[in-house]
Amino acid sequence: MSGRVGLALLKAEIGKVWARPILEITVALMAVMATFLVQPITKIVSHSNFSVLIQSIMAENVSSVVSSLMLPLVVMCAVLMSLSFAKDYESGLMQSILSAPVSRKMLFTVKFFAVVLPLALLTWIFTTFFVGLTFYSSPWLVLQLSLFALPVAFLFLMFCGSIGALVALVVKRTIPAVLTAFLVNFALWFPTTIITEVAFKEGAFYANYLCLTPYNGALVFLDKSLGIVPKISSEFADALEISLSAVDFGALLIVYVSILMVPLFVYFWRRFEICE
Amino acid sequence: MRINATRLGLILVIIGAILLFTVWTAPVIQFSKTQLAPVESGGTFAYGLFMAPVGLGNIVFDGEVLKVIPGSSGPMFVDVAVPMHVVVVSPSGVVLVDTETVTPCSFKVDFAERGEYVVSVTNMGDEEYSIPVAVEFPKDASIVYREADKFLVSLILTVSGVVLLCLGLITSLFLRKRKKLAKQIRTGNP
Repeated sequence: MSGRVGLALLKAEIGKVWARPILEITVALMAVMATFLVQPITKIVSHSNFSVLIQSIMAENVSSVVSSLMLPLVVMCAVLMSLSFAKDYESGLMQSILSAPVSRKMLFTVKFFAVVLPLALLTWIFTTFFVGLTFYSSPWLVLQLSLFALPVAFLFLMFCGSIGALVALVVKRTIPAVLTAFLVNFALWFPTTIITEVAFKEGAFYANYLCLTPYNGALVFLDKSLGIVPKISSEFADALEISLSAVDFGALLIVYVSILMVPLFVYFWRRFEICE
Repeated sequence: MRINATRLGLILVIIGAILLFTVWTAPVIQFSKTQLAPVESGGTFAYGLFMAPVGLGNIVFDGEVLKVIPGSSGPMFVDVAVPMHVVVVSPSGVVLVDTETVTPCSFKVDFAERGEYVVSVTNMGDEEYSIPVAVEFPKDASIVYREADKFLVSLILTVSGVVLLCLGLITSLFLRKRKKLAKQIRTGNP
């Protein structure tokens, strides 16, 4: 019974969150970022190493598509999550839903996954489409490699969504919550634009810890899962980005998500004052 | 989330139009001369060219040998004429070039498919030489190189999106009109 209610609620929430023109705007932003940043690929290599090299180029292509999609994903996830929580609270819809036999746990989960799941699926679809456009001669390999984008996108979107929900539950007003969530996530995304090698060469104190930031960590996790060697010269061989494994970065992402999401979930379930 | 024909059409138009714009404005592909290994006398080396279907281009071969030139700081590559046998095979296995020639030389090849073009060079000289390969496209302002397959996909997406969008709009207009008519009949208002 509760499962059926949950599914109905999820369907209604997805319909509300992704109503026109949100889906269209998201698709347009993702298409712009993916097409402009992914250049045509043409190479001259040794025939004997061709399949190995093409596989590595394909993996790099998957990585660059996901990294170019990260900004629109982070922006949309933060905005939609805070909009979903804060707008419903402000308009009184949250109070109305909770007066029906719907638990707070279910409402939180439904609201969260109504934003994160479609965005993670869109990431995977866009990655497969744009990598497949160039490498359609090896469709299984494209599917296999682009599948790595799904868990990575899911994890960083969970983190991003948690920030959006946290801001919405604290601020409780739609416009300030959306703006704050957008700015916080943009600030956290910004370190992904810094090239670790350059930071190391300039002697920046933070160079070694760049890969530990949430969004950089997600990209390094994807690269390591795809078998892409970090582009850091051998003189910085003891850098964390080289010495830590894909499992370490995956665990780090799960820790980031848990640190934010579990207390937020418990707070919403036990403490959050709905009828303020 | 209800995805009707209008929304699906609009999404397809957005993706198709952005892709079309990117493919249309893509720069002419530039290759630098690539040499991967010296080819010994009588030996064969095979290059793999990963190419997009961009149309006619020239595969250019040079012959080089590493020599110490008096006055220079170290050994340098010097251009030499190397007799060689060239075979170029398209991704679908069609032999495009199969000839004996002397470097420097070039062959016009129609890059009609995406994939690996295998270029095999056999050194028929009596010494070990490097036989670098490059792909050149004429830098004529009137020539525009586009990746034909991506261009086709973007056209299909845009056209099908426009068709779906128009169909959806017409259907919704028709349905709205029918609803209005039914309401008029029900209420008896003219």
